Amino acid sequence: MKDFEYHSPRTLEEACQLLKKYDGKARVLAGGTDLIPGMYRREIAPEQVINLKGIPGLNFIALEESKGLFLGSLVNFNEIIYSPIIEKHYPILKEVSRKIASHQIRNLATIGGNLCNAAPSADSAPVLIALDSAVTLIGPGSKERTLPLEKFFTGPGETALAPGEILVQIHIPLPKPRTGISYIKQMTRRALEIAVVGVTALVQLEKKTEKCSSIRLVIGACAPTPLRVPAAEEILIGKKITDQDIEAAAQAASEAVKPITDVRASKLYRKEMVKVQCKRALEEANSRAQASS
Amino acid sequence: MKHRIKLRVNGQDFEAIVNPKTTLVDLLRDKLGLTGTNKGCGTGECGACTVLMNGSAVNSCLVLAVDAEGAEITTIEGLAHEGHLHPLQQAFVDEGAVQCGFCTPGMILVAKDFLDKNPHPQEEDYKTAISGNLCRCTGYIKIIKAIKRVAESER
Amino acid sequence: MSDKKKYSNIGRSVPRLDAVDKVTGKAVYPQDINLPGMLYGKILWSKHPHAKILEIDTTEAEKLPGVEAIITAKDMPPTKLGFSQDNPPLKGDKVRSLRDEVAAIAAVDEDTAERALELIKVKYKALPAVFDPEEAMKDGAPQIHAEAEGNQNKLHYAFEYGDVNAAKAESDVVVKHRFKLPWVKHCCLAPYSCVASWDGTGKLTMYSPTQIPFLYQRDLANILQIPPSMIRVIQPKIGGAFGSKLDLYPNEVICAVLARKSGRPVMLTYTREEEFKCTPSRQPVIVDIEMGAKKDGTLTFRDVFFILDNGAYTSWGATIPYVLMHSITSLYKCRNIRFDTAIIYTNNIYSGAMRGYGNPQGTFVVERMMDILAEKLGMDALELRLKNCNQPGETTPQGLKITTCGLRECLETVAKRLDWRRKRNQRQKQSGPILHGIGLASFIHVGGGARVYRSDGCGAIVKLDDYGHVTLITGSTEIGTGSETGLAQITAEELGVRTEDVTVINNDTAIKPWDVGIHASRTTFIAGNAARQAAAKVKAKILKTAAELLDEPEDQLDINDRKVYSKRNPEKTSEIGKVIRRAHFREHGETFMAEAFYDPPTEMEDKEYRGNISVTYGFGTQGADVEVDTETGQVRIVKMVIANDVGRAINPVLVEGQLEGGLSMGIGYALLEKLVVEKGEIINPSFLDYKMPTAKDMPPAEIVLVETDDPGGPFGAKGCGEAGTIPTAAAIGNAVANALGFHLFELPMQPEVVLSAIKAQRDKRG
Repeated sequence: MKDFEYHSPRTLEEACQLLKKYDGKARVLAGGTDLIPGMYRREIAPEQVINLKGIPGLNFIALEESKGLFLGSLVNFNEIIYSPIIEKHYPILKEVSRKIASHQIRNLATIGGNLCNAAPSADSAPVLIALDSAVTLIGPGSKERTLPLEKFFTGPGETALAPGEILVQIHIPLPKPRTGISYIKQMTRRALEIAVVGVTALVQLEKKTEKCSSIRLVIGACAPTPLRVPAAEEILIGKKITDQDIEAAAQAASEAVKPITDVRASKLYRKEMVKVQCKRALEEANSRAQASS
Repeated sequence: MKHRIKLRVNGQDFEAIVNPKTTLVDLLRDKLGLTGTNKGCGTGECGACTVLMNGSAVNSCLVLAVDAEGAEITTIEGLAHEGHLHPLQQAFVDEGAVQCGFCTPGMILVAKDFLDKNPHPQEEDYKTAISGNLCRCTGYIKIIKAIKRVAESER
Repeated sequence: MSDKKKYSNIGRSVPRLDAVDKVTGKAVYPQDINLPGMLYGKILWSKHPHAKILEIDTTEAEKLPGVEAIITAKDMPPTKLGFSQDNPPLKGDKVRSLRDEVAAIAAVDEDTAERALELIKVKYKALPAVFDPEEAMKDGAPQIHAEAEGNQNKLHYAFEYGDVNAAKAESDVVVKHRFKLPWVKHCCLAPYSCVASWDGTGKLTMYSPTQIPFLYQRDLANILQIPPSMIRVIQPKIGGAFGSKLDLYPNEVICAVLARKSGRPVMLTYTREEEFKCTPSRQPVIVDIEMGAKKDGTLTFRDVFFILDNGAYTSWGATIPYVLMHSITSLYKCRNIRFDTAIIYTNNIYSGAMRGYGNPQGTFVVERMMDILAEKLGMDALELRLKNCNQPGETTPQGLKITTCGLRECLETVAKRLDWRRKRNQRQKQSGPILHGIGLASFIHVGGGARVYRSDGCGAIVKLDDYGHVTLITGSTEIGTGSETGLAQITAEELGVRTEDVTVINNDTAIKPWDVGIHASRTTFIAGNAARQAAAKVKAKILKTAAELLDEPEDQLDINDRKVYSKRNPEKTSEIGKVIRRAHFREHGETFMAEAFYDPPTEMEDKEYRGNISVTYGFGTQGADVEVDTETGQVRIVKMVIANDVGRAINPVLVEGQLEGGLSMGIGYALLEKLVVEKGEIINPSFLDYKMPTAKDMPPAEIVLVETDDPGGPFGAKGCGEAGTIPTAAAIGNAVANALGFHLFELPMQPEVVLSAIKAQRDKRG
C-alpha cells in the first residue's frame, strides 16, 4: 500500500469539507471491504483517506408507516440480515444481503459503500433500483439533495456524487400489496463470488384482475451500470403474465444488455445467462406475487 | 503522519503508534506478537485473519489499525479461559477438524460470532457461517461437524 | 475379511497431537518466526516471458535507507537447481518466464523492501516467446534453453509391454480421444515463507516448510557450495504442502544468500499473488489415448501419449510420468501397453509435485476412456471394470506386485451406494432442463512407500525416560496430515503403552534420523514400520530387564497398558517406569533407547520402467451423483461416495480427513479450478478469481474404509494421503457424461465450458 494521510472527522460538515478540499485525491472509508483490498493491490492510491464511522447519525434502520424504510448509509449487511424490521417488511433485502461475500465482510461492508463503489455487479443495486429507492446526498454547507437510485450510477465505479458530497441515507418505499421480488445471482462457485450475472425481477399484481400493475427488471454485471430494461418491462405491464410473455421479456433483456468478457465469463455467455435468469427471476417474482396477500 | 491508537486486545489495553496504512492483522502479528491470527491473502478473500472486533467477526486484513481505535479485539489467543478451551476449540480438537491448522483460528472465531448471532442454525447455515473461510486440507466436513456439535449442545 | 484384533491404540480416533496448539494459536509457522535483527526479503520478478537481461542497475535501490542487502546472479555461485539442473536461483543472462527471479532485496521491513524493488532498473531485450508445447516442438520455435534442442527436455519416459499393434487388430472395439488437463494450484493457506540464519562459524539454519529436509539439505549445500553438515533444517508447523514443498526452490536459496550477504537473519514470505504466480503448479498435460477391448469386455490394449508443458525450468512436474504410468499399465488388467511422452520447454510457469503426482491425470484419462469403451461395447461401465478388476497376488505389466487388493469391494460398495442399477440408465426418461447422472472411477497408487530414489528409508529412534514416557524421534515430518499422531499410536501399540504417553520429535535435521521425504503417501507405512521396529527393540530390552525383576522367563513376558506382566502368572506385574529405573540407577546402569532404519524390500524401476517400487498398493473407488443444469451449464454434485482400501485405519478420523480433503481438491480439479494463463501470464492470481472450493461447494460425502489388513504395513496399514484426490475428477466426469449423454474432454467442467459443449452437441444432432 502507498502511504496516505488519515482523517476521522466527527461531523458530516467536516467530512464534506475534507472531501471537497482533497477532491480527486481522497477516498471515503466506510467498511473498507473494497477500498482496502484495492489499495493493497495498488489499484487505487488515495493520498487522503477519510473515515466516516466517527460521524454520528449515519447508522439507522427506521420504518415510517406510510413512507417506508430509511437506511443510514453506514448500516452494514449483517445489520440488514439480522434486523427484525427488514425481515418483516423487506425480506428480499435479507435474501440479497445473504448472497454478498462472507459473514466477516458483511460485518464490515456498508450499504452506502456498496452503492458508492458502484461496481456494475453490485448485489444490492438491482433490488434497490427495482424498489424505486432514492438516495440522499449531503455536500459542504449541509447542501442536501435526493435523487432516484436509478440515476445515481453513471459508469463502472462512477456515481453522481459531486465533489465533497457524501451519501447519507437510502429511502426504500414500501412495496405495494401483491408484490413479488426475486434476485438471482449466478455464480461459478457457491460462495465468495462476484456475480457473473445478477437479475432482479419485481412483479406487482392487481388484486382482482391479476394483471401486472408494476414491473421492474434490473440486470447487474452486464453493462457499465446496473441496467433496468424498459423494453422487457413493457412486454409485461398491464397484462396477465403468461409463459410466452416471460420468454419474450427475457429475450428483450438479453438483447438490451452490453456485457463484457472478463476472467469470470465471456460476453456471449453472459447474454445467454441474462435470458435464462430473467426467465427464472420473473417466474419466481410472479409466483411470489401470486402467493402474497 | 503516524497516529497513536488505543485498543483492547484479549482483555488487555494496548497503545501503539502506527502508520495509517498498517492493517489490524499486521498490528496484531508484528507489533503485539499475537501470531495466532494468520495472514492468508491480505485482501479479505480467505478468512484466515478473522478476529472478533467488538464481538463481530471481521477480516483483520481489511481493517486499518487506526480504524480499530477504541475497539475490543479478541484473537484466537484470547478465546480459552484460564487454560480451559472454549467449547468450539474443544470440538475442533475432538472432531478432527484441524489438519495444517492455518485456517483454524479464523474458522473458530467466525463460528463463534455466527453462533452468537444465529442460536438456532439450520443445516445450510453452517456452510454459510464458514463460506468466507477457505480450507484446503479438510474439505470442511469435520469443521462443520464440530460447529454443529457445539450449536446442538448449546440448545 | 480383515482380522479384527483387539488393539488398544490402533483403530482409535484419538485427537491429533498438535490439535490444541493449533486451536489456541500457539502453532508457529515460518511466517510467525521473529529472530533478533531479522530482515525481510522480497524478490524482483521478470517483466518478460522470454528476454535477454542486458543490465541490472541496483544503485538507486541501494541508497534507500533500510535496505541491507541486494543480490543478483553475480552474488550466486554458478550452480543450478532442479532435476535437470537448468534453474539458476537468480537469472543473470536470460529470463524464460514471468516468474523468473531477477534480483532480491533484504530490508528492515517489507514496505521498504517493496519500495526498493521499484528502484531497481532492469534493461531487457525481449525475445520471441512460445507458450504452447505443440508449437514449441516445431521447427523454428524460439529456443528456450541452449542445450535443449527443439525445446525437448532430456527426460523421456517410454514403456512397452506385449504387442499393442496385434492387440489392436484383434480388438472388437477401439476408442481414441484427446484430453487436455489444466494448471491447478496447491492453494496452501499459508503463503510460502522461510527464514535463513547464519551463525558466526558459517553454519546455516533454515526454518523451512520443506517436505524433504534431508534432500533439501543436500541440494542447498550443493547450490551454496558448502558442506551439507553446515546446514541445519528446522521445520516449523507447515500451513499446507500437498507436494508444493517437495523440491528446493529459488526463493529458499535467495533467502539464504540474502542472510549471508547482510549478516542478519532474513524472512522471505510470498504474498498470495506471488503464491499463485511464482510457485509451481500441477503439471498440465495433453493426452492422446487409444484403448481397445474384446466384445466380452476383456481389455486388449492401451496406447497413450502424454505431452507435458514443462514450462521454463524443470522441477518434479516433469517426472510425473513415473507415477502416472501406473494408472496406464496397472489400473485394471490390460496386457498390451504402449506409453510415450514428450516433455517440452515453453515460456510458461513450471510445474512441481502435486497430490497424486501425475496419477490424477493418468487416472482421469484411463477412467474416462473406460466409460467410453463400455458405451461402445454396449456394456455396463461397472461390469467392464469388474471384469478386468485387479486381484490380490497379481503382477502388473510394470512389475508392480499386488498383495492385498480391496478394489472389487470398493467398486461394489460405491455402486451400491450410488444405486447404480436404478440410476445409471435414467437419462432417456428425463425431461426438463436438469439432467441427472451417476459415474464412478477407481485408482491404483503406491501404498507401501515408493522407491523413486536409491533409498526409500526412514529412521526412527524410540527412547524411554525413567518414568515410562516415550519419545519417538522420526525422520518423517508432520505436514498437516496428522501422520505423526498415527506414528505415536503405532509406537504406543508396539510398546504396550497409551498414545498419550508418546511425544514425537520430527522437525530438526540435527536431531532426527534420515528420511527421504514426505511424498507418495509413504509416511504411515515407512515411518510407521521404522517406529515399530525401534519400539520392538526397546520392548525386548525392557522385557529382558523385567525378567530379572519379576523372576519370570523372558518369553512369558509382555507389556499391556504400561505394565510388564507374566502371561503364565498374570499377578506378577511391574510398571515400566519401575523396570527402567531399576536398570538405570545401579552399577553398570543402562538406559532404554533403540533405533531402526526401515528401507522396504522394493526395487527401483529399471531403464524400461519395470520394477516393484512399493511394498503394497492402495486402491479405491469414488462415485458421483450429479445434476447438470442444461440451461446454464452448472454442475451440482448431489453426493459423492468414497470406498478406499486403506489396509488398516490407524486413526479413522485422520484417515477420513485425508480422504475428505483430497475429495475437495478433486472436486476443484473437476469443476472449478484452472490457472488462466495468457502469453505466459497468470491472469487470475487471487482467491477471488481462482475458484478453490468453499464450504458451500462441498456435497454430502459418504466414506467407507475398506480394511484389507496388509501384511507389509504397520498393523496392516497402507498409505492413503493422496488417495482422496486421485479418481475424483474422473468419477465426476463420468457422471456428467452419464447425465448429458456425451463426453467432455477438458477440465475443469466450468459452466460456460459445459454449456458450449451442450450447444455443440445440439448443433451436431441438427
